[in-house]
Amino acid sequence: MTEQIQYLIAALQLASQDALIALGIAVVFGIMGLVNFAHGEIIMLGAYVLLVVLGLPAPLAIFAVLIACAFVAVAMERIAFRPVRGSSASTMLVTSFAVSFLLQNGVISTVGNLPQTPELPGILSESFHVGAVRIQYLQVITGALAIILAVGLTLFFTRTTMGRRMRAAAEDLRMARLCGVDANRVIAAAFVISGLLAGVVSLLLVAQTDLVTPQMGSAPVLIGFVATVIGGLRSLVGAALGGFILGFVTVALQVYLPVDLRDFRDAFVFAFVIAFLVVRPQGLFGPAQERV
Amino acid sequence: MLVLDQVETRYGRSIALHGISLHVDQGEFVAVIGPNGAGKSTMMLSIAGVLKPAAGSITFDGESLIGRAPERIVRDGIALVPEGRHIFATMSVHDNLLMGATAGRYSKGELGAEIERVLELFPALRQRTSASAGKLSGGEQQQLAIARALLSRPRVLLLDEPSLGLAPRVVDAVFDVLEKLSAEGITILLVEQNAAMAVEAADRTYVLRNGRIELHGKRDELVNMDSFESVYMGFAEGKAQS
Repeated sequence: MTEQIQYLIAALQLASQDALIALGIAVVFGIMGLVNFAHGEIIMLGAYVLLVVLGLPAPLAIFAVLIACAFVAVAMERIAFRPVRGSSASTMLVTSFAVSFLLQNGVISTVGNLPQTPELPGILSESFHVGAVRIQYLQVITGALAIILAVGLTLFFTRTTMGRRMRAAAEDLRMARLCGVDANRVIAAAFVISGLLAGVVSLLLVAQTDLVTPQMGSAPVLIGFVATVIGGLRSLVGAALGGFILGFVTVALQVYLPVDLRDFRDAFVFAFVIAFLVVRPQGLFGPAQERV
Repeated sequence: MLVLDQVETRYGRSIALHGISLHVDQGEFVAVIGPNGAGKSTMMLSIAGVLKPAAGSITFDGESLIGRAPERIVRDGIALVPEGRHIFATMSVHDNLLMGATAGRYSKGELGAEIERVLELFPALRQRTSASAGKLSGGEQQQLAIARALLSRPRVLLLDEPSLGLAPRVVDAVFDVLEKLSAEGITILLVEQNAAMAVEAADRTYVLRNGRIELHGKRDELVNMDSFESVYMGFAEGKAQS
C-alpha cells in the first residue's frame, strides 16, 4: 500500500508537469493554429538564464527566469511567427522547427554542448515523511503550482476582459477582429502566457534533474504536443487533462512493465496514444464534426 | 458617407469584384442583391477590412479604409454581421454581447444600460443571456449576431445575408428589426439573396452579378422597371436550378 501511494505521488508530479507543458503549447495553438515546437527551447533558455542568475535571492532569480521566458516567447512571435501568420499549418510548423533548431544550435555554439549542473537550494531535493510515505518538497511544489496555475488561468480566461477576448479569438480570430479585438495584442498575450508557463516548467525541470543541456526542451515539448492532441488541440482543459493522463500512463508503465521492457517505456506510451487516437481521433474535447 | 469607387478584389488570380462603385449616404438603408457567387460577401469583407482590394477606393467620411485592419474599422464605426453569423458558440450570450462591446468605447456603468437597450429589440435573447450561444436556434443566433454588432455602436451596419437558412417567420422578425434600426437613424448596407424582401425594405437597391453592378435604383423605380424584373427573374431562375 505504501508503495502504491509512493507511485501515485510520483505520477502526480509528472502529470502536473506534463499538464503545464501541454497548456503552454495549447494556449498558442488555440489562438493561431501554430504548434510551437520551439516551446521546448523557451524552456531550455529559461534554464540557461537560471544558471546566470543563480546567485541572486531565490524570488528574484525565479522572477528573472519567468520574465526571460516570456520575453523569448514574445520575441519569437514578433520575429518568426508574425510573418507567417495566417499561412498554412505546415508553413507555421516548419517555421517553429526552424526556430527550435536555430535556438538549440545557437546555444550549442555559444555556451557549448556540455551538460551543466547548477547548485540549487538543498530544500528542493529534501523530503519529509507522512507515515511511511516519503514526499519530496519538490513534488509538493510541482503539484501546488499546477493547481494554482490551472485555477489562475481559468479565472483569467473566464473573468477578465483580455481572457474573454483571447477565448473569442481562439474560437474565431476573424470574427474577434471584426468585434474590435486587436489581433496582435491577443496573440502577444497568448505568447506571454505560454512563455510564463515554459518558465515554470523550466524551473521545475532543473530542480528535478539538476541538469541544464541544450536539448533539454526537446523531450518535454514532444510530450506536451502529444498531450494537447489527446486533449483535442483546441481545448485548454483538454490539454491539461491530456498532460495529466500522459503523466499517469508514463509512471504506470514505468512501474508495472516487466523490467526487461522498461527501457522501451516511451514506445509503450506512444502506443497508448496511437490506440487512443484510433478510438477517439478528435481527442477528449475536440469537436466531433465541424461547426456550421 | 460610405463610398466604393471602382473597387476590384481578387482571390489569388480570380477576380471577384470587377471595379464596383456604390455609395451609402447618412441614414440610408441600402440593399445589394444578387445571386450566389456574385461577389456580395467579397464586397462586405472588402469594406470591413478582411479582404484588401487590388484597386479602387473605399472611403468612409472621406477617409480611405483600404489597408486599415478590421479591428480599426469597427472602432471607426462600421460593424459587419458576417454571413453565417459567426457567433462565439462556446461562450454565453452575455459574453458574446460583451465581445461586441469591445469597439464601443464605453465608460464604466454605461455598458449595462446599453446591453439592456439592445436586448429590448431582441426579447428572445433577454431570456437566455446566460445560455451558451451555440445552443441557440438559428434565428436567435442571427439576432445575437446583430445585437453583438450593435454594441460596437456603429454608424454603419453591414449585414451579409441575415435571412440565410432561417424560417420565413423568423426572416420577417429580422427585417422588422432592421427597419426599426433604420428608423432610429443607423445607416444600413444589406446584402441579400432574398431580393423581394430586401428591395421592399431598402431605400435604394443595387443589383450585383458576376462581380459587377448591373442595375441600381430607388425602391419605386425598381419595382416598376422591366429590366429589373428580367435581371431579378434571371437570377431567381438560376437559383431555382442550383
